Amino acid sequence: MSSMNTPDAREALQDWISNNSKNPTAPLDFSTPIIESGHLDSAGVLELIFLIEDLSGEEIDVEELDAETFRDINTIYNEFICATPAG
Amino acid sequence: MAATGHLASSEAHLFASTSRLGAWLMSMSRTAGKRAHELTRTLATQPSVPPINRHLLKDQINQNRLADRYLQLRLRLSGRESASRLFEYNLHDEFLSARAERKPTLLLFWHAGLMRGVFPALSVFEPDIRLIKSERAFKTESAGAPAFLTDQAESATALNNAKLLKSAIGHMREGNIVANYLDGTSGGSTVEVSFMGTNIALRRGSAMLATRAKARVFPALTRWSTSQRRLQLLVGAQLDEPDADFAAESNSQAAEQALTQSYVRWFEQHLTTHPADIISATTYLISNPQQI
Repeated sequence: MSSMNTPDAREALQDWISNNSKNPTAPLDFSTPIIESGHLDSAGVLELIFLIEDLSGEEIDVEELDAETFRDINTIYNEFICATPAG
Repeated sequence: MAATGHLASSEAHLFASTSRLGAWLMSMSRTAGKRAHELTRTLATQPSVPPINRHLLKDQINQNRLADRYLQLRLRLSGRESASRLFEYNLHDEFLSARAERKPTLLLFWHAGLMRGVFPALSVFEPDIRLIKSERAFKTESAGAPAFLTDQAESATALNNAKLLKSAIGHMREGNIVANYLDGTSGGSTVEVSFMGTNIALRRGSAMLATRAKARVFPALTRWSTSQRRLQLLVGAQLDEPDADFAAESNSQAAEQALTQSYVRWFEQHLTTHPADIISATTYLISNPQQI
């Protein structure tokens, strides 16, 4: 999939998390902590990582992943999608 | 925690690097006795350990004590034998073919038979096999694996577990084996299957791992062969490849259920001829099907 460097990527992330949420009644916006709020378990986080790779067109090195960069949709977008050169 | 992984890792490297059974037996015997002592202490000092883990602990203690006694005996009798004489392999042709072609491979195991034999047996021809295990499991179960993906985790959060699973997928994509215990205590999500006439909850995620790694999946277990006096490693025919779009929750659940059920059918078939391979943790699971 080609990289997506537009704000649409954040909406795509939000839609995907919302559709796969383990806690669908919890609020979800671009700054909601996605793990702390219970939206995703480990399998969900893994699938989200693959989605981010699809959106950015770049493979993510797991060493780059930490709680800060993976905190919410905004931090994910800024770290892994917005920062990726358009291809 | 890390020491457990390093201990097991060095144990496997020692085994892989020596053709002399004696050195490995000596190491195994020493670690098995020490492990039984450590686990006994854990069981006594951690009253909050969940019931299923307590059963696994007791099984591990018994098996390590047996291993300690058996290995010491073997050491006296056969310290100069080839290491390969300790193991007996019953490997399906499809598995051998997959390994010859270095295909990504996922081995599904159950806490049955002789758990401690899994990784030494595999390390004879696959030195870089890895096991998926949680830190929670580390605290209550014996080691025995050459490498632990969970060594990398600082804590068992969803993110860290996801990182470990991604590492596992990468490991398989490079042509290696990853092993996963379906009745293990790692992970938080389950899938329900029929086992021994009752519905039980087992860990889900194997189908996703296999799909993402494009791995071939095989059922496996290790057991003690009384007649041959060897550790047996059994690997069955390849299970059907998961067919799922994992972007859709309902599809992925169905794929997890199908793959897990196909392992359970193979395991049930095995138990009809080897009922002694049921350990107390499995018995507990049947009586308390939602307790993993």
